[in-house]
Order: sequence, then C-alpha cells, then structure tokens
Amino acid sequence: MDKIIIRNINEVPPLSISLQPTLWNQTGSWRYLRPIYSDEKISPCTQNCPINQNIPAWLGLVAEEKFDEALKVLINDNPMPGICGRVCHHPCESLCNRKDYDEVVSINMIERFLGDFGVGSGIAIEQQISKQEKRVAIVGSGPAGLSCAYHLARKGYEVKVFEALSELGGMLRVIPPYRLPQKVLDREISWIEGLGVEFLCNTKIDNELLGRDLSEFNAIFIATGAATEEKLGIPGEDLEGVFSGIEFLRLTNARKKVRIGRKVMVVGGGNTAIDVGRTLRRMGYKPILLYRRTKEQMPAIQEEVEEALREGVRIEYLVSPVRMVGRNGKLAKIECVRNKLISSGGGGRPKPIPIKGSNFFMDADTVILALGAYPDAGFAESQLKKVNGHYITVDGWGWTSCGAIFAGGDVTAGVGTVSGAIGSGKRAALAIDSFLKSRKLPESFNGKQIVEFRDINLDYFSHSKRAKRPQLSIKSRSRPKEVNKGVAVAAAVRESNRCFSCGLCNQCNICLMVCPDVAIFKENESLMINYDYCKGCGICAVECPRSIINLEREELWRK
Amino acid sequence: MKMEIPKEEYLYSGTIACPGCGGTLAMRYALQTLGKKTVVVIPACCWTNIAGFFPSTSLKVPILHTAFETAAIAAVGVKKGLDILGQKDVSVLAWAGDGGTFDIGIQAISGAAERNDDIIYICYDNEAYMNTGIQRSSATPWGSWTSTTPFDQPKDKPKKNIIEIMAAHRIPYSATASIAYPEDLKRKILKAKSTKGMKFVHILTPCPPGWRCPSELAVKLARLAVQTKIFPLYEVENGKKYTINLIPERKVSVKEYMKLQGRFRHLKEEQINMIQRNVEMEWRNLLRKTKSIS
Amino acid sequence: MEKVIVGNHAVAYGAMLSRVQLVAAYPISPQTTIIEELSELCASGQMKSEYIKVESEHSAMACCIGAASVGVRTFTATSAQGLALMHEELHWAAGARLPIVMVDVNRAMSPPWNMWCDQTDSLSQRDTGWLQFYCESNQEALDTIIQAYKISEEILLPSMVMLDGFILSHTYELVDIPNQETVDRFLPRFQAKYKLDIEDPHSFGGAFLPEIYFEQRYKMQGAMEEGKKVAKRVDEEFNEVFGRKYGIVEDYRCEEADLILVTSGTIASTTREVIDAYRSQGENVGMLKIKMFRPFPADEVEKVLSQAKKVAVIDRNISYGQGGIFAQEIKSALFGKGLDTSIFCYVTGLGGRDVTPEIIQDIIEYTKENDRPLKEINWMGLNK
Repeated sequence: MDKIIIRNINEVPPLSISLQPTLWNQTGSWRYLRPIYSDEKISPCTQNCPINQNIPAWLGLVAEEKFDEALKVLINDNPMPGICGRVCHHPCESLCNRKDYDEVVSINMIERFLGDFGVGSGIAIEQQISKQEKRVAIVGSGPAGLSCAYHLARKGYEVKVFEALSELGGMLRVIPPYRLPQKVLDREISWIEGLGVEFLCNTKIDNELLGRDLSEFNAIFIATGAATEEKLGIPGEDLEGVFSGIEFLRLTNARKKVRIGRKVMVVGGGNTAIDVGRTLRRMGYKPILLYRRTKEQMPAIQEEVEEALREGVRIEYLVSPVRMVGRNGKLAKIECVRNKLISSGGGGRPKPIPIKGSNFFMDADTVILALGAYPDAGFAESQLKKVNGHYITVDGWGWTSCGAIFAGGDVTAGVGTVSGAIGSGKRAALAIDSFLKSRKLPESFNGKQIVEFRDINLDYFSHSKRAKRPQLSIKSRSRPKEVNKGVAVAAAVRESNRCFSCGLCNQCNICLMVCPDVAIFKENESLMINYDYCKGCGICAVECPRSIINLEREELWRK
Repeated sequence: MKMEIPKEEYLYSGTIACPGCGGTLAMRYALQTLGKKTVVVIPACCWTNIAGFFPSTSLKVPILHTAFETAAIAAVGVKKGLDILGQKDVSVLAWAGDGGTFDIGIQAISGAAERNDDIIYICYDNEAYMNTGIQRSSATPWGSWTSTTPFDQPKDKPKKNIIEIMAAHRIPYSATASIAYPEDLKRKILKAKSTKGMKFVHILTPCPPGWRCPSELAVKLARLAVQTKIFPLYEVENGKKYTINLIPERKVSVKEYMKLQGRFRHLKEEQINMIQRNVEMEWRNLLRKTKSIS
Repeated sequence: MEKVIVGNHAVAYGAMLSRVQLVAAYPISPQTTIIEELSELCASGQMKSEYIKVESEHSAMACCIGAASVGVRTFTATSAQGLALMHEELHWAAGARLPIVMVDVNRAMSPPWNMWCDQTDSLSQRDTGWLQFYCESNQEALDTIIQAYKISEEILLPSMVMLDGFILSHTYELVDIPNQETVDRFLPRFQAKYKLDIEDPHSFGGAFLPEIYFEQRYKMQGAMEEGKKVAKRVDEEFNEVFGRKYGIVEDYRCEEADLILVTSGTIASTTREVIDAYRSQGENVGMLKIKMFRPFPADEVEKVLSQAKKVAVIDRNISYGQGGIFAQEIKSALFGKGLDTSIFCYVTGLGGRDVTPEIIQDIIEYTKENDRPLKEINWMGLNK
C-alpha cells in the first residue's frame, strides 16, 4: 500500500478528510531492537528430566483438556508415562520455577494421569516413517531396552529384544504392586510390542552369542542392567537368614512364598530398601530398617520414605552393621555401630564415621540386604575395548566407540533411575538412527537457555495451592492395592493450569494484546510479529509471562 | 491466564505514536469493546497526531477532530446529530488527554455532565501536555518533573481528582482504569456503552518519553501504579456508590513505581515517604467511601 | 401570515421555518429573546429541533460543529462577548466547511459594559471565513436566515446574519411570516456531502502539512467568491417564491448622484428618509446599502459608487488604528479603478448612540462642504 500523493489542486479535498489508512507508513523502519520469539529457551523441568520430556507442552495441553494431544506429545519422548507417573523420582519438580512462587507443579501426578488416560483412549502409537531395512538387537528388556526398542521401532527399524529372564521389564518387575501394579507395566510393554518389536525371553546373551548371532544385526544396544547386589563384607553375611532385597521383591511380587523369620532387619537406604520395608509391613512384619546416614541423605525418593514411616516401618539412622552372629548356622543377632557425620572436605556429602565403642546388638533372624547393585558386563569384554570396572563406558549418546555397539541403563555408570534408563534408551535410539544413516548426530539438548524464576513475569499469575495426590488411608493399605490413586480430571486440569510454561509459548496471546502497533498476529496457531510495523518498543518482551521473547539488536538482522 | 483474541481490530498499524505509547494501547482496547458503531471525537492531544495526518486515518471508525477545549460538547453535538438522523445505537466517544479534560476542557465536561448528555468520555491520562513537549497539567502528580516544572522547581501541587469532580456532578457512571488491566478496562467501557447518560472513564496511560522511562515498561508501570495504590481501580455510580475493583494482594511501596521513571529521579527520601503517606491516606478515604454507601 | 413581532422573534421563526434540527445556544443580551422563543417553540413541539442549553458560547459553536459534521442543520445566536468567545470556533467551522447559520445581534464590545447597538463585534470576525449579512428590518432578518441556509449549504461555508441590537431585536415591526410549505419548496432538506458515517468512516479535521494547507485555503477563498454568485442567484430565487428581494447590495436613488452614502443595518433605514428629503429638495444624493459584507461585493460597489464624485461611508464600528471597517473595504474596492472619488469616512453610533436623521444630515452637509476629507476619521455626534 502506497501513500496517496496529491498531484494537482483538483485532488485537494475542500476540507480535511482522510483518504486511506495509515498502513502505508511502515514504522518497522524505526526499530533498533527487534523482538524475536526464541526457540532457544528451555524450562528447567525439561532440562532436568532424564528423558528431556517437553513437559510444559503436555501440561499445557492437559490444561486445555486436550488429553489426546497431550499424550501424543508425551509419548513422543517417553513410552511409559503410567510407569514413570508412579515410580519416577521426578527431578523435574525439584527445579520447577513455581517452587519460588508458591508450590511446585505436580508434574509427576499429571504424567500418571496421562498414562492412565492412554489406556482408556485406545490411542494408537504411530510409526514415524516407513520401514527401514536395518535390524537392531537389544539385550535386556528393562526400561532402557524397552525405551530404545520403542524409539527405534517408531523410526521403522526391525527390533529384536533378548531377555535373559522369563518375564519382560527388568527391574520394573521388582517394584512392588502397591507402587507399580503389574498390569500397568504389562500394558505399556504391550504398546511397544504393538509396534512390531520382537521379544525373546529366557535368552541370555553371553560373549559367544554376542559375537556370533548378534553380529548379524546392524547395531546392538546393551541394556543388561545392574543385578549383582552389593555385599556388606562383614562376618556372618553367609549365614542362613540373610537375603537379597531384589530376590525378596521378585518373589513377593510373583506371589511366591518367602520363608523368613519374625525379627526382620533391612539394611540400606535406597528405593529397594524402602520397598522391602513396606512390603514386609504389608505381610504383617515389623521390620527395622538400618541406614548408615541420616534421613535427608537417603537416596530413596523422599515421599517413599515418608510413606514408609507412616506405614510403620521403623528406621534407625546413622547405624551400620559390623557383624552378624549365628547359632547353628542360622542368624540370631546383628551387631551394629552408631555413626556420626563428618564433613568430607571437598563439598561432597558428609561421611559417616563409626563412633568408637558404640557397638550394640539386636536380635534378628532375618536380614535383607538392599545395598544397591552393580552390573556384570564381563560378557561383552571381547567386543568392547573399554569396560570401566563393572560398567560399560559410553559417551553422552550411549555409544561405546566400538563399531555399532551402544549401551544404556544401569549397565552404564551414573544412571541408576527408571527415567534415567528410559532417557538413555531414547538417546541411544537417536544415535543408532544417525549412525545407521551415516548422519551427524542431532543437536544436544543442553545448548538451550534455561528460563529461571526471575525471568517469569509474575504479574500474570496468582497464588494457588498444589493439588494433593489422592492416596489410600493407612488402614486400607494391603499388599496389592495401589497406595497412590489417580487424580480426577478436574484436578488434573486445574493443576496443569498452574504450570508457568517456562520458555514455551502456550498461546496465552498476551503479546498480541499488548502491542500498541497491532503488529503481532496469529497464523496457523502460531504467534508472529509483523516487522513492517513493529517499532521495537519491547512491551511484548517484558509482558510475556514466560520469557519467550528476546530483544536483539536490529542492525544484526538487517544485514 | 489466556487472553481471547478480539474478533476485529479497529486500530491500524503505521501510526506515528511513540514506541510503547500507553494512549495507543488504550484506544485499541476501547474500540475492541465499542466496535464499528462508534464515532470518536478527538480534541488537541497526542491522538490528534496518532489519528493520522492527511491523507491518512489510523482508525476504522469515523473521527471528528475538534478544538482543544471542546471534546465533550462536540461529542454531544455529534451524538444529538446522530439521534436526529435516527442512528440511535451509535456510541459517541470523546477521547481526550488530561490537558483537554482536567484543565482547558473542564468547562465543557462539566456542562455535559450537568446535562447528563449521552456520551462516553474517556480521558487517557499521561499526566502532562505530552503532545506539545511534556508541559505540566493539573493531572501531573506532585513532585514530577515536566518541562514547565523543572528539577529546581518540580510540580508542587497534587494531582487533581477528576473522578471526584465527575462524582459531584452525579453522572450515572465514572470509573478509573489502567492499560495493564485490560479485562477490567473493557468491562468498564462496555458498562459505559450500555448506560444512558454521561459516562466518564479515566485511564492511566504511561508515556515513555514524558515519564522518562524505557518504552518496554509502559504496561508494567500502569500495573505498578495500581498495585502501589497511587491509581486505584474503582467505579462511582450516580456519584454515590463507590466500588473498588482491585485490592492489591501485597504491599508495594511507591518507590517501586517511581524509581523506574526519570521524572521522579530528583525526589529525596523524605519526599517519597510523604508521597507514600499521602497515597495511604487517600486509599483509606476511598475505603471509607466504599463502606459508607452500599 | 402577517404579524407584528420583534426582530428576535422573527429570527426564531426564520430558524424554525428553515427546519433547523439542532440549536445550541447560550444567553446574552440582546440575543436572549431569540433563544427564549426558540425554547418555547421546541418545547411546544411546534419546532422539531434538539435544543442544547450549553454552558458557554464557545461550546455552543462547538456543539453546532459536532452536529453539522453529522449532516444536521444547526443554528445558534449570540452577541458581542459571546461572539468574541466563539472566535476560535468560527475559524474552525469555516475551515471544516460546515454550513452553520448564526445570528449575531450587533452589540458593543466591553469593557466598559455596554449592550447596545454597535457593529464592531461581528466585523471583528470578518477574517474567519464566514459569510456576513447585515439586515435593516425584521422582515429582512427572517428572510436572510432562510436564504443563508441555502447559500451556505451550497458553497459549504457558514453564514452569520446581523441585526442591530435593541433597534431591531427588541422593536416590533410588521413581518410577513411565510408558511412552512413555501419555505420547504425553496429550501430543501440538508444533504451533507461530507459527514461522519459509520458505514463510510473517515477522519475529519486531521493535519494538513504546509505542502497542502495552502491549497485548501485557496479553495476556501474560491468558495467565497462562488458565494457571491450563489447569493445573488438565491436572492432571485427567493424573490420568485416569496416576492421579496434584497440584492447583495442595494442602490437607492443613486441616479446622477453627486454624493452617495454607504450604510448598513438600520442606519440604511434612517438614511432612506433623509435621502428622500434631500431628493425632494432637488439634491442628488443617493445611498448604497451593503447587505452582504462577506464576501465583499467589490464589483457591485464599484459599479454603484463610480457614478458619484463623493462617497460618505457611515460606520457604526471601528478598527482601532485604522478607522471604520466598511470604509476601508470601500476604499480597497475603489482603489486602482481609475476613479476620482473622494471617500469620506464617518464613525458614529458606537455603543448604541442613536443615529438620528440629523446626524445623517450633518454627514451629508459636511461631505458637501469639503472637496476632500480633512481627516481620516470623522467622528459624528461626538460630545465634545
């Protein structure tokens, strides 16, 4: 549109009357700062999630009651929302910016809500692209292996999973049913099966098989987990009555009978120890859990510790067993010392040091050890050049730097959690895909700018209480019943609306509405700036509640 | 919090408004509410220019430019004329700045209020004669720098309370509004539209060049003014019924508002404290009025 | 219908018959009985018009501007101080090309307070772009209002119609009040070409930069010049319908006149008597009555006055530092026309001082006695 030019006096109107709108005046030329919708921002929850789920995206969709779409976004990264929504240690919530405003958003609770919704909706998971000609072998059907299988199958690869045990799921099967019902695990595995992934149980892959059969595959992902349990290394550990925590849970989950005595001790501070304690309570026992550090230092998920205490598990802190005493080959007493904490100097966790002369005895006929486990990766030694102690060494994408062999989950160092394993499986799938297509690896997730609390414009929010996760009362908690109940739809929607959506545009339209130059518009559900008219006043950048708009020097753009 | 995109915009891009102009945003909101059946009467003020020089107009509705002091009465003439022609459902909006309302326009607005003429009068208040170069008006707050109240002698009279003046005329509806609270602003304009008689809305519209602040803070300042209780949001019906629309959740000191504006940078601690005390006193007065008449 | 009525009421009837749709007015003596009568007519329903009782004259004109911008026929009336207060808006109405018709009851400017007849008030506004008509009778006032609407609405410039304060405004004369149907035939409804319209929205009155303002003003002058032709034509048309004509000027007994008096308003009326007396004595004196002062009828003035050797301009007004305003305009009209006319400028009657036949006679005698004017301004009737 051009400005009307009056060429001769006959065109001059007799009075002042407008002839056209001001649109010919492209005030974008005034700008020295240009507002940009940044796609370089990331929310702290997404950054901290081991699977890097796009949390604000699916929370935003739940807030709009678009559950189908929310689930689709979620399973783009994580095929196991029902599982994670029950057992994840939710590092997302630890960094949720809302914690500095009132209370964190119950992200984990909503994840479970979507997982449970997925069953009812009969949602079909689509394969992303057409079938690839390549085949990938996955060793281990725990969360890492399942996740890798899922992502590769969606990309069209033919995937075969080898599982040593008779059941799929790895350590997920060890989690007690009051936390993770078996049917939830089964149905999320069946989703993955539904993509055409082949599972072969009772097939342990040893060195020979690895070298021979699996070499027919174009790539291999090793996710054999960590099943070798730590020992205390104290006298009497081999007495009758000393059990492995993981074994105990496998048997109890399978409803098999376990012969244990009445005076039960559990040693350890992780989730396995807590699971053992709470399972024992449900069996009618009064277990005492011995942990060498303090409650706050327990590696178990804190909510789990709280529930254990509420259910009557007695925990003794700063206690370490030093000797188990038997009678006729059977465990009768356990000797412990009390610890004190001393700072470990270089900023690490304070160390427990036994207090000299504080030894004491307790009657015990059963001790269940839950000290953690480490992997056994010896089988892969011939193929892999580097095996760091027990663990397979890999880079950030899971590549072993040996040919087409990748690894993830607890068999690699520093994972140790369900979501960590799922995340490692996803990254390995991306890496395998790139490897097989001889393409460069995709951008890492860590390059983006994390949106901090001070970046949030609080003027657009008001305080609200966090939704409480509904639970069974203590009295109603018997073995198989799930303790945490699903949240109601209305509460899920309300809670999702509390999400600040840090760094992710949720179409609040505030930028569009506060522009004095009407220079922001919506096209195909996207907000866009009309740079012909934008004067670069910056109001949109300041008002955006979630710090998505950056102001950049215009001269850099004009070139 | 999601905002609904309005169905139609009545403001064109390409105005010569300063970047970050609060008065332009206010007009955008006002017309989104009033719609196509509106005639706007604009006296001498910033909007004389924002409306566009010949051959342009920046609005999709008709505009009548009028002399400085005549916004109210010219609007009355337009409204009566439209009524005579049978166009009784067209809103006539007198859109004037603080100078054309508080000072030179006070005679006309008093006349229209006394006659209870059926117009909507909106004063967009940037607290000085901004269009002519930031000279002081009776809407300039106490202590502010302007080009006629320089730093050596800043404004030493308090801001005129125009809502009280309008309330004294017992007009059916008057209200304060802020561009930082658009839903409240639009609700009030809609209420004005559906009320017969004289309606007055006083909108605080920050002016970055005049207030000596960065352009991106325009909306934020309009919000802080409300949160500090310097500019409370309230309505007065028939000069008697007072309703406060927003009670700020937490205490925000006036310093938070003033420190962002260069026009207050010369103020000393004790002056700011005095302003704080005055603001609190005025707020208590307002609360009392709200309680005594319900 | 013939009726004996005061000038102010004649004006009110003129407005009513012109089917004015909106009146916005503020009281000031000697205009008050115009607006009082108008409010009675509106209240009774006889006149179908909105009546806004505004809070000042400035607002009265602003209100008319607002309504006229919508395309409605508007009217107001004022005097002296009120007209002066309206000054800004007079420029505005003309620049906005709005066909508003206003009556100014000529009254002296203050201080000192004086509410009697004096033309300085309206003549001070001669530069604003309004047409100006000076009436000598109540009949003429009524008729001129009707004509003014027709002229203004055609050329799109406002008109003011003057009647002498108290001498016409408050004096009873016989007036033939036309009937509405006849007026309707003569004066159709106002159809505004430029108006505020939500179906065709425009901005009116926005800035014209120096590149173009000049041309818009050129067109205003063009409209004024057109106005002269239109006024003459409308007067002819009026005559055809109502049987009365005034002309934009009137030459009275100017045949072979040695001396022509130039007058306006009720002084013209008085002068007619004096002219008749002189003529009956065999003296060749005549009168040029100026009805339309803006646009100034220079050609017509030249045509009439070129007949005489001496011209005596009677001004019931003054522009300080110069002289009588009609006189200046007359001089300007005759300048460079190759005439040898002596122009005598008389100022009289300011502030309601009675202009009697004796004063007119003195003017004639003084003019006869001197070949050329001895002074720029001759103050007639001054009490020394």
